[in-house]
Amino acid sequence: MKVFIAVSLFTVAACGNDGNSGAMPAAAGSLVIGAGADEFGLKVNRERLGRYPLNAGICEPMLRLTPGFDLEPLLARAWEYRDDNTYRFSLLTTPRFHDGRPLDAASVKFTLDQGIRDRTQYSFLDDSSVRVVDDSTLDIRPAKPNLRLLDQMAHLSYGTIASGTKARDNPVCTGPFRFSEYVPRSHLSVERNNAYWGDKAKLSRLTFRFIPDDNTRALALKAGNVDLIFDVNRSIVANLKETAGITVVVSPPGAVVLMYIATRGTAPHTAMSDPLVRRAVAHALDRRSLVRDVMEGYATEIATVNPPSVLGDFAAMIKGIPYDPARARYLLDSAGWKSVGRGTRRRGGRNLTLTLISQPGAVDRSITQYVQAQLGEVGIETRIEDLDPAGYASRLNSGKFDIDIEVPNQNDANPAFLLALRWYSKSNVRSAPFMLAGQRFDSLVDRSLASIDRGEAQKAAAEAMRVLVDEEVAAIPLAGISRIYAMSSRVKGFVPHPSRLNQRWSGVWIDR
Amino acid sequence: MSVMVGGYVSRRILSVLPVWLGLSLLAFSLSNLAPGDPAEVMLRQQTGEPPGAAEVALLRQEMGLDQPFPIRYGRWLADALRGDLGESYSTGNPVARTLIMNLPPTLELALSSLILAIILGVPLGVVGAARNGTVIDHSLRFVSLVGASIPAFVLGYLLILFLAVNLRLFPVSGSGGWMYLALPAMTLALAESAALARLTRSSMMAVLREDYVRTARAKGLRSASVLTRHALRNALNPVVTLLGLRFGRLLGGAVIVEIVFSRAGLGTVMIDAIRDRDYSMIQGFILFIGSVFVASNLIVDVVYSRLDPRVRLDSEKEYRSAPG
Repeated sequence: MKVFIAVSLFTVAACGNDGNSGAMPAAAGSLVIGAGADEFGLKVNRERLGRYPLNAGICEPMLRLTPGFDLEPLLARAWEYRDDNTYRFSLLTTPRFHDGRPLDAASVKFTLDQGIRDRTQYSFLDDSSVRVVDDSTLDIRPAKPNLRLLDQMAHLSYGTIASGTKARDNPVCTGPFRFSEYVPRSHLSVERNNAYWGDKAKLSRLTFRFIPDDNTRALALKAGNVDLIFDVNRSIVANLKETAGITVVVSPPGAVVLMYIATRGTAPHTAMSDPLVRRAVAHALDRRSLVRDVMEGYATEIATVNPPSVLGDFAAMIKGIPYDPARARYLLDSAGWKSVGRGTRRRGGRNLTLTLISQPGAVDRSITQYVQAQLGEVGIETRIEDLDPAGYASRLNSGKFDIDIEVPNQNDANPAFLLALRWYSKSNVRSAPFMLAGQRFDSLVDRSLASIDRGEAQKAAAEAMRVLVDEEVAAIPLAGISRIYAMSSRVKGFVPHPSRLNQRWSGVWIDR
Repeated sequence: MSVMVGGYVSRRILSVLPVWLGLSLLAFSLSNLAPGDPAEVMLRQQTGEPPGAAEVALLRQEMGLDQPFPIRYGRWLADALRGDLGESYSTGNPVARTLIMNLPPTLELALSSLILAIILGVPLGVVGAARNGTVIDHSLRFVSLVGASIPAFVLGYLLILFLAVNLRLFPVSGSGGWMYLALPAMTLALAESAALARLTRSSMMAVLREDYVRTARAKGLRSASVLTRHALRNALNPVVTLLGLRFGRLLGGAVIVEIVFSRAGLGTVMIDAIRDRDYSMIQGFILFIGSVFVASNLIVDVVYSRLDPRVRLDSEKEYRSAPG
């Protein structure tokens, strides 16, 4: 597979003036992206065509997520927290939808109401939550207290669509690109919105071709069939780097390879209910070597369960458990798990055997095997079970596992998002009761969720995370994941966002 | 003679009915016995995160998954007999329509690869048999062995590498005109042609030892004429059987090739359905592909009876001598 040549076949086409002047930008072009599988085929995702889980730049939410996981205004000009669990948003008046209509509060309500019908949001909204005050003002009052609403509104699934339009067939929004064509399992095409209210896109056309297979995507780039590809497999990065005319770009970490621990697993998965064993497992794992040798440097050492920038400066509060196999062995001895030579430790006639579950498509097998090998060094036997999504959910929801490795993404600015979802006793997620992190953790999550001030929310979330990772060891962050892109050297202006969903395409062009 | 053929076909069709019913029960049972809750998977897909218990229970009710197995099977079978295979849990589209819409690209791929396999495999088998024991025969056997041994995904990548990336003759992936069809069809056809060549060769070898072939040669007929007019026609019976079975397999088994070449088709629909625990789609697919297998076997039997009248005569005797 090393005989690759790379020249992009796609040519630069359009012309015009600078985008900021209001006329067409100077450098245009048509960009073809090799994306992964087409996920818009799913009923619910079809309603979010071009928005989620692939953002084609068609729609815009009221706020957006910066690369540092901060919030910045987009369609909303201002917002304020009013008493009684209500946020008031004031919209910009200049944006226009692709059909020429001005942006209005009714369309924002239309969008949010659709999410409520489709059960595609986590903001505790119900039919009476969104109230239009006037054309450019609306109030949002979640059914349950939710002061993290603002952070959540930056999620692209809240990208505003024009009221009365059918998002599944032709999403009419306000973004820098307008919908052109969607052919299931083949491609999604968008074209520049020449009447865009902000800085106009430089590309005249953007096509996402759905190529699920990693190798085929890379070969398509080398053959010049596409200009840029998503999710380059680490095993082919070196080959692509050696290819003339191809550039590899890596994003800052936007996701974490995370080890969830069954602190209250169903029998016989009870070994990890002992804090000493959990801490020993954390000490046994050399995360530096994982990042450097297994993940070949396309990851970062991390102590937090989501990208550290979500917590701002408070991320430094979480230290993580250092690699110390001697300490791990000591803790296991203290817990009564005695080693027999170099074999698996035993206690009361029972082997210290852990069941590790994961989904092969979501987590590299090299990572789970590395964990297995490292735990073996301190006398813990690990059985890896690669499961399909349904089997995986079934095991997770019944607590029949000891360790679960996943890669959760952070796509909004809510610092308590993952904490409240996975380890919180009030979470309605079925697997949460098997992973609880204790009352202190719960009260800190409560505090974060109830903080109006974003800094306060970040601080409380960081404290909760410290309890989770450093004290209770109910989760072990293994590595911060970077997204790897490869592209033709003629593609310019591409700045990878740590959250793929928030990737911006306006500034990208093809150099003639 | 036509009455005999009609009777033979009718009996074959009647014998297929219990097979089809068994198939439907198997399709419905298999997907329902597998672990995992489709409601849970669907909700997880919507948000990317695990759903709440109440939401899962509500969706199970909406999807009818809270009903007992016999009731669900009975309803499904009755609907299936009317051509309604239900709605896909994950896409919301009618299953029958999805299968029909995705059939043409798979059919196109299966037919073109089958034709290509026949064009390559049958002549190679004939040449191998005619040149039995020579260097040509050994070379052809070696090539066909290699062709049959290489997994489709490896062959697919190799073809992409040389014909699409290096020579730029074809696009790497996608669907569209014949340019997009060429590489996937070649990938499937090479393995199929290898199997066909081996079967044709062995069948021809057996036929070439028959007395009537020796007689034809003794009469002074040209070698080519003996091979094509006398030997090949009789050697084709097992090849036709194999083609019928292979066609069904190609329809349902083009999955890997469809994934490697990012082609739309039944294979990728099935993979997605299995991943998403989309019971209604899995059941519909198994029933559909199973029916295609049953139908293609039926057609092969009928064609076989035309090629070799002894088949239907034997069947007729068995029918008449049956007790009762």
